[in-house]
Amino acid sequence: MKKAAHSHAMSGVFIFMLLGIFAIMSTLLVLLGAQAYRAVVDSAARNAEERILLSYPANKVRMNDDQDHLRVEDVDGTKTLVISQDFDGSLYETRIYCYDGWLYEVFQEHGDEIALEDGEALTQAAYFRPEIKNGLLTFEVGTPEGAQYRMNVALRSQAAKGATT
Amino acid sequence: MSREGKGSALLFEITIVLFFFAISATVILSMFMRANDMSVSGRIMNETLFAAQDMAECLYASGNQPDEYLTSVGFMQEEGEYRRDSNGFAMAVRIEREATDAGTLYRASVEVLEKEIETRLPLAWYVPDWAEVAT
Repeated sequence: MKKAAHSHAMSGVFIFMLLGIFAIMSTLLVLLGAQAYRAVVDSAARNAEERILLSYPANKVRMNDDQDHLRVEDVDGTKTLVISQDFDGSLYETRIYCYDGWLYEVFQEHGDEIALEDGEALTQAAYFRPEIKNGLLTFEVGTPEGAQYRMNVALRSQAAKGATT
Repeated sequence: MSREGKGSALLFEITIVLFFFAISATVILSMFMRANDMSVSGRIMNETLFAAQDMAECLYASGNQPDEYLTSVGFMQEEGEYRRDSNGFAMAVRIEREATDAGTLYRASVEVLEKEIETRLPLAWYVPDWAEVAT
């Protein structure tokens, strides 16, 4: 009788132990899953931000690579990449620059007063340094996390006069 | 059913639940790990693609002097191609030339390898004999 009661108690303890393990493992699984999900989302977001930082200015330049339509201008100590476009006889300019920790773009008519804070924030950036030299637009960009990138874009309008791809 | 029988049935049920839980947990965690691996692979692929694009742009800008450009940026010529290991990835550039009556057609292949992920970018550019190359 005593032995049966003892066995019954052990069985109860074992069931509670199993339930405890189940509860702990469930919590761990949720925590691990959340952590892995956060890591994946962060990595994807960082990847997208880096891609925007490099691709956006490069593609903007490729789209508007006309003779004398690209220049680098200094505005209040900030280097801006200026892309000029002609619409119905009026000259408009797209400026890409880094201001207050963000990569900005502003589109305005040529000659309009420039206010760096008026642009549209594209993505976070530590710096953006464009330079045009020997038919190459080179820009260096930095992420807020400290990663640094350098990208070259051959200017078809300047690189090799007459050369075609 | 006796009290002991009920206890055994509960134990059996919990064991089955734990077994399925263990299988589900393994599947879910492996899915997250696979997602993480894919994310890392995507980032590396992105980096290698940007490196290949960057090199392609520089080769285009070098006009009729791609060999001089590659040597100047640290590439070594080995077995008919230019190779360089830097910034954590290996880069190989193979250039072919085809002379025509009016100029030269350059065909190149840029390969970037990082952590077993390879990106290959073919490119071609034409330099007429009369072209003035800016570089």
